[in-house]
Amino acid sequence: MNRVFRARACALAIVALVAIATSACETWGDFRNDQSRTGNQNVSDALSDPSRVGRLHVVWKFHPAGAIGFTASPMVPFNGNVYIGNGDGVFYAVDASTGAEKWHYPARGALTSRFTCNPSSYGIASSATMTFIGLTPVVIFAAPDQSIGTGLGEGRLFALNANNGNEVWKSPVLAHITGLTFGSVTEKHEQIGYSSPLIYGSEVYVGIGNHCDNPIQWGRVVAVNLADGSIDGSFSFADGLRPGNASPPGGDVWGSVAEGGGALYVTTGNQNDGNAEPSPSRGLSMLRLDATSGAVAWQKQPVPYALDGDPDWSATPSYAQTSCGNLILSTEKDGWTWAMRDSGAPAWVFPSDNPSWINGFTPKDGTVHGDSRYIRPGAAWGDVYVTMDGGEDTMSNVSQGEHRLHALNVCAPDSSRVRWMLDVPDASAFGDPSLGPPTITNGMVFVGTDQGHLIVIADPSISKVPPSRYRCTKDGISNANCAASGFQVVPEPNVLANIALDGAIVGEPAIARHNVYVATGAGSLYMLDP
Amino acid sequence: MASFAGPRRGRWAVLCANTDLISFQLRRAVERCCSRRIAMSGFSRAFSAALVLVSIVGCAKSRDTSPLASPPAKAYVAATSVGPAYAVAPTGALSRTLYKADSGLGYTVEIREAIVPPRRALAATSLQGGVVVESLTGSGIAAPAGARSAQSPAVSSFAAGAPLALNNASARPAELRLFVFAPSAASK
Repeated sequence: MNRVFRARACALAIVALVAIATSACETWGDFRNDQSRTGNQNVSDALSDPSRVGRLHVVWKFHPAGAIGFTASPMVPFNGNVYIGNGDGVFYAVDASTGAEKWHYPARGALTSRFTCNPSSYGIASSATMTFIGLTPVVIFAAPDQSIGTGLGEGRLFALNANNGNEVWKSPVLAHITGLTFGSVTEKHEQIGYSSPLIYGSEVYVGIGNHCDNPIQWGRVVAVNLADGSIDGSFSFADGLRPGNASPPGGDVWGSVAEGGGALYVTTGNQNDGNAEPSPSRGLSMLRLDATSGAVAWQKQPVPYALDGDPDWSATPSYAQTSCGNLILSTEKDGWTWAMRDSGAPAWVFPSDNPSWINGFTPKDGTVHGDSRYIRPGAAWGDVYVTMDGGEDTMSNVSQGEHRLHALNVCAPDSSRVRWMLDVPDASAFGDPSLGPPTITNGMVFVGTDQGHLIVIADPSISKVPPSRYRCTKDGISNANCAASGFQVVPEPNVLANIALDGAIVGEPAIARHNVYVATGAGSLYMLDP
Repeated sequence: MASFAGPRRGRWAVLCANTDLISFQLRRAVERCCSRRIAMSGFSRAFSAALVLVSIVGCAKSRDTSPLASPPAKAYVAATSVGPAYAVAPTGALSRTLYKADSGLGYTVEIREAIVPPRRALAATSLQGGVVVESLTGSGIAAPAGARSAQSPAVSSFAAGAPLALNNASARPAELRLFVFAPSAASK
């Protein structure tokens, strides 16, 4: 095809797309809604109307027989179905209007692993995505499969016809399991786990993680061809290896790959198992990758190997288009939130008690980087990023933020970084973690809690009632002493709805078709209407 | 691609009905097309740029996400807090006791936290017991009175009764954790 012709065809496609761009607002077609993983839904309807969202109520509940907890989130694409996989290893298509099952896959049996240690390893743990192969609508998801390879439940991708659940393709093994001995450094214990597939161009990308650090594995991103599921050998991203291959290097990819500006963004887990540091050292990092080759364009590794106390960077990054440029935003497990520019330059870190932290932490700087629970992606909305992080208590009481949301002004100076903060009601003080990923629509924030509540919070800019409370960004300091102590007094936003469901909510509330779809740890999928 | 998912305004609403499928297919088509390295002619570039501009205008954010206005003074209320509240110490620092217990060996163990406001040099103080000071944030924050500054970050120790100066040279609050070992009442 002539290049100029292709370029003009591309431009014409953009014309048509612009004309109907807003129709995409009706759907929730990827984990975090879009390939940029923003968690944002730009629809002006009752769900973003403070006077109407309080009417939110359950319309239907889908609870398939044999289902265990959902860790995946529902996907609600254009065709009137909801798609979600369960920890029992069955993938479901459900009528989005009625909650009636359309089909499930596999017809018999289940996609499970024999290496089980936590909910990421039981069955289908991550969200699906949707595309077309030719004229066939196809839903793609990751799962373990005992019918291939070693028979232990090695991880692969499945592409099914979205209309009827028929197989379109199944990838080769992408995540290898060669034994079941906990802690073995000679067996492979890989899994796909919580990483949702990303479709970009003619590829499908997914991250490879491990089973409960028994032991850490060889973190990678793999790409398969969208057309047939075969592995694309020209794409390669992996952590470096240790001298002498003493043990798997780690740098596991727990989260989902994000796309922005034609590049891929990924975060990686820890590496320090007592052996020598891998080279190159790609763990505990946010990285920008070339989408074609997987080459590393830049890497931000705030926590050096010596300080690696298992603060996996597992939260999926968000690529946000803001008034101060494109930012890649994510919170590391240790509680610090990072904003990076396209170029790889750090824009800011929160909290930022010491200016030197922007360049990364150093041994003896007093910072601690452990296995706290900041593992959820945030939601990007204009110049605001809503995330669960350690906030101003990161240094003194790091777990204090595990039931707390911070809304951060991403383009503001450090002195006014915090827009609002809220200890989310009906969330455990120290959960594992206590909150699911927040989603947002025109300033209305939806978040699930480990106590099974769907909470709806209004950004003060949209709330028709002024915030009833203000608080200091540092715990324990009265508002009167707050500003003089160097902290901020910020609003506690109003909670406009609080709906009790039947189990912990660890996935994201999907906002689509003017409704909210959310799954629970009790094995139920709900649709709520305002 | 995120710019294609802009918010809907009223004039666009009519275009939104029943077009999801087409939109989805087009989004993927554009993505596949544009993800390849292709040479665009000047016409195509200008045309695309204009349309993207139209898209951005049409999908402009309907809410203001700039920082919120300062809270009204009357809205200032007591802070919610899980831990004990900080109190203003005579030195001007904010201080709270997290833990205090008698060891049963003739001394008490107390863990305090203190916050020194930005760019503040506080009056020297002395504590009843020996103290280990751990600097969590800030710079130049704990030193024997009279010294210009201590190394920071640092863990410093001070003998019982030694004057202690708290100087925060940084633009951010300095947080300290103090481990105080004092004679217990029974041993006095």
